[in-house]
Amino acid sequence: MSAAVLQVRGLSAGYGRMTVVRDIDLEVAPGEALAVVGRNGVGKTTLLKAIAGVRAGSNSGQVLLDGADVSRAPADTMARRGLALVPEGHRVFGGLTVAENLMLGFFPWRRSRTRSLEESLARVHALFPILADFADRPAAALSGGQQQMVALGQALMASPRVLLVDEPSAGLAQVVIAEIYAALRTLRESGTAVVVVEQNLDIALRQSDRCLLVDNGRVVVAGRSEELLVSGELTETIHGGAR
Amino acid sequence: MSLLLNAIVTGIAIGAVYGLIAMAYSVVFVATRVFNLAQGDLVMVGVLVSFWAIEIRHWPQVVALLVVIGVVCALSLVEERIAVRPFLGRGVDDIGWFISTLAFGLVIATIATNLYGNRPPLPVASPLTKDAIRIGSVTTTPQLLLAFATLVLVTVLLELFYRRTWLGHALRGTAEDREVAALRGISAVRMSRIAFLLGGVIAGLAAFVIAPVVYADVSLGLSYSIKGFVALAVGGFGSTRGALAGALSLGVAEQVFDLYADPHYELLAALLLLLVVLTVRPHGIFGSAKARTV
Repeated sequence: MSAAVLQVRGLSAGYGRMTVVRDIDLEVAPGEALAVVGRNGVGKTTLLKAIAGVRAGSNSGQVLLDGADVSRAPADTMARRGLALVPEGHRVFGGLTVAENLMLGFFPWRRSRTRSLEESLARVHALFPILADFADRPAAALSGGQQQMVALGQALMASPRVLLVDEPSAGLAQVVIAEIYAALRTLRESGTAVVVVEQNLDIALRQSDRCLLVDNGRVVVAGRSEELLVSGELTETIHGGAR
Repeated sequence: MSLLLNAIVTGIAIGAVYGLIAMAYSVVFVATRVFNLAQGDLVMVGVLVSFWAIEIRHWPQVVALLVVIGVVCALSLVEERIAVRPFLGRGVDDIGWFISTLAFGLVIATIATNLYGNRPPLPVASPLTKDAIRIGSVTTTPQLLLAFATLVLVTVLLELFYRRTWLGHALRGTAEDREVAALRGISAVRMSRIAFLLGGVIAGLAAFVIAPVVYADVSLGLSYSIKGFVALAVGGFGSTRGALAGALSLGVAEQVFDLYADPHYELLAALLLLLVVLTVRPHGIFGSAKARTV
């Protein structure tokens, strides 16, 4: 495996004075998919936000992007340095059209760039052809699944080296979930590192290389997804914790 | 009929003056969801600087225009830094900016009064002829036509800016969802600064164009703040076309009210227009009003 593009060491984060995520270590290599699973409210979303530079309280620990310490960088700087987070809830700019949403993802003054605007747009349209058809529609008028595609497409316009995706399957039909994970697979094949928070354990294990189970803000199980799928360890731990 | 036609044409021309102020409000509101209550006072400062540059210093009109825009922009950026930025991103319930922008306007008005003194309104020379323009039975002035042409130009340029440029999308997107905008590499602080810079440019331009119409007067800030607010509320907050429509409607309503009712109660025309429009369309003619989002 090539060197990790994202390394997180001893990360603790929360809201105000409340610590939600405690002392988490993780790393992900280019082209690798890491799934983060766990019950509701255990800190998965807080973890992704803390990595991406969205702070609502005091964070501690270290975040390294391509070896550079970006622990104190705010979200906009992280995005410009190549880390994109797609937050949960199909959050798009509803008042803007699909084309405007995608264009907004292409930060025009980024210094290091691997693709032009046209190339980035073509790549997104290849992954989600429906976005080309609906280019002039207001994003607010789209279905949840289509909005999720806009949100992902917008993040991909910046050609991130690390993509964090929070609950991409939540509330979506199976056919849309399949399309979204197919797009994530294509991205991995092109070298993008993907970290995905997923409620659906089966999807998480089948669509990732490695998996972390988070409980009460800490990593309680970590391993290769194939092995965890066979062993059933995650299911046992989650259900055991739920009892 | 001729009187009514004249009232409508004059109303459109006066509405253009309100429209320029409303546009300055609008560009700040579109990007920050903050209603800058000091906007009228920024325009007032621009009018006073126009008077000083043209009547006292006798500078050429172009130089005076650049100085006015420069001064108003600088004040607008100072306001953004000290009176607005501390309150951005605190959530919809935090409307500290309401008090801070109002206070900033009062500070500007107080300083202007001390510097300028309690003089009566003084005329500011226009580069255009003072002769009235007559088309059939309709009469207007070149300066009001200039205000109207400037308003149309500003509206068209703003629409193109918002629809066709990345920065225009970024300003609209930041107002809608600051967190997602940040996750796409857009700095909300930078967008706020750009919005106030743009607002300053438009307020400065508006001040320079309307100075020969409204005269140099330290007390005009409040009245034009109210007119700009009504124009924006009628047209719909956040809509450039709405600001244009609202301002022209307000100007016409005032003139028609003056014609058929009593000019002493002209402010009633604005309130009546506001009541009627908001009863039929609660978000204004073109608007989709939203509170400032997190």
